[in-house]
Amino acid sequence: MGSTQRDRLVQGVRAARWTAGLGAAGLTAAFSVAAAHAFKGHDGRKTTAAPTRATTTTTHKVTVPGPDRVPAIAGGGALQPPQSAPQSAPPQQQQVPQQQQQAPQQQVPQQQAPPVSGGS
Amino acid sequence: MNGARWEALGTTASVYVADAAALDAARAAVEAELAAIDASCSRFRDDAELEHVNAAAGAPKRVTPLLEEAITVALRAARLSDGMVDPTIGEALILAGYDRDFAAIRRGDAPPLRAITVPGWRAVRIHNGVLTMPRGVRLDLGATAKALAADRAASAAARAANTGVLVNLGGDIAVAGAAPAHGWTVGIGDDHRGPADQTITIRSGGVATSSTAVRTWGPGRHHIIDPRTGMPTAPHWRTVSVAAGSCVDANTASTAAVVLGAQAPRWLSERNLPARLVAHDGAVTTIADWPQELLAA
Repeated sequence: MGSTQRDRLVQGVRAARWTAGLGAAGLTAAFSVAAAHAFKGHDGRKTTAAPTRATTTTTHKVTVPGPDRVPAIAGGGALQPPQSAPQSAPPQQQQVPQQQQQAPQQQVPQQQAPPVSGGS
Repeated sequence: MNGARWEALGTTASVYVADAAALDAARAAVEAELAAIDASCSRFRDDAELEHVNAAAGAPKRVTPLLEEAITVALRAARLSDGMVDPTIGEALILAGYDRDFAAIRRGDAPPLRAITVPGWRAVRIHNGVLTMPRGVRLDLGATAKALAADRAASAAARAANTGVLVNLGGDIAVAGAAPAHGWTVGIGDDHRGPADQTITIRSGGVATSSTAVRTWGPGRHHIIDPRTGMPTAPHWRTVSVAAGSCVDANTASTAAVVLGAQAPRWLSERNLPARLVAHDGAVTTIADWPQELLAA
């Protein structure tokens, strides 16, 4: 094999390597763009880190996995407003009779103060 | 109204029926539901399933269908409240001093308040009855389990008694079945033991009230934890009441509103949830279709 023929072969190999390299780079870029569109990441907004734990007695490392799909239950997509809005009612006798507060179990007679939604 | 009242779940339970003859059947159904929820979801019973689950954190654990439902409801509440109602605050509650049944807590017992990083509800997975959460996570279902109990108990009682039923569990109110002709009359106030500041009527769903004015054990110490800080929420609203399609949704919204503070009115309004918010200075804000207060004659 003459030197000229050998030089041509070397140049051919170099050209093939460049072509393969450029092709690989192009494919990597294309897949990166596709992956970026397929899997959404952060929205770019800044977030404030939660305060770190002060001195604690336990040092368990908590590994947080990715979000899980929450099984659908009735009305799972949103907090549901009531079917009909609450209405005003005339004020009634509000005080719970002392007798009821002391008795652990008993029947509540008719015309009694209504049940109260309040803190517990 | 015809009803009965007793102590359960560390608070007061009561049931009211549209048909007086159905009271015993309704009460029996409610008591059965409450007993099941207590055995499954209590944080203060050594034999409760939730305590076994918390002790086993770090490894997959099969749970009963009832606890699966309760955890699923809690995770849904966390998702729909943007993380403001988070079941992974168990450790934060203990550090704040709420480490035993509330009746056993004495004022001044708790150590100084300190911030803690709440693991966050996304750390919890439950699928096909198997719960997985990292070691160190401690669940507290208090924000939603009582409301779930009210919803379940009202439905069970309405079926068993074949009449309209209202169940009140420490201020978490759920109704089921046919309502009385003029609806169910419900008082609204800081404390479910009364007195009420306003009286309304509802026909379906539920009403819940979250308050920092009760279940307190010292300055700045109450049972509503802000998951962002791991500490009791900062004082803004004294009491928030919400009406919703279920007691669980009402409780989720009222608890989230207390945590959100000044952002709560907008958050509730965007969800079209009728609500009544009382600031610490007594100023009242109403949202959506919450009725105006009628003055006594």
